[in-house]
Amino acid sequence: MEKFANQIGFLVLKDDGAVLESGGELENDERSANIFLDLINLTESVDENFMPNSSCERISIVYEDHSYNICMSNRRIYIVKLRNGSANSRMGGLGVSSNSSVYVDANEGNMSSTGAALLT
Amino acid sequence: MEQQLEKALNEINSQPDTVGCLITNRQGLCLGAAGKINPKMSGIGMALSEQACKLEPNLNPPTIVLYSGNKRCIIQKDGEITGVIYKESSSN
Repeated sequence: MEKFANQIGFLVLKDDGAVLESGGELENDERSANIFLDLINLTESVDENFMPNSSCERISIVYEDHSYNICMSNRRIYIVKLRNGSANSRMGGLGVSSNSSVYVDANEGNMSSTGAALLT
Repeated sequence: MEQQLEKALNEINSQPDTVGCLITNRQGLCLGAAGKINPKMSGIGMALSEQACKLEPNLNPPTIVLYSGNKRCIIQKDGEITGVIYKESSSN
């Protein structure tokens, strides 16, 4: 799988949760894989009026210094663990901010490019 | 008693691109909501934040963002309460 400059781990799962590929800090991490799968199943119950079923195309789980980004494509679930940091954000990765809601807005462009790259 | 909470919710809801927001307790019961958001979302919001916290239980709870086109659902847990914000950007 293509590597991002700030990537510290990745997982590729089948839609039934089987680990197809893994690497970095997520290598053979079946515990996390199961949590991601449960999380994806939960997103299907999100308000139909706001997000119609299965329209959720990307999930980000953002911690203070790293984030998990989940994309679904072709019955595969792609998860990358990225490290946040000002140096990395200049290279097109995720930035860090003390205010998480501003963070999400400010990095919308970067996140989109990450998602697009994941799907190629 | 809930005036402060309603004030905070309305303040959040007046932010750019914000469609609606709610706050839920540990049991997933909605404590308050503002804007266009289904109060029933409190349970699923709580469940999502609990699930994400299992990833790294030793760290502070993460921010969860669900993306769907120009819409975003942002979930953040803070102690006993969890906040859910719906955002919809006009561009993109």
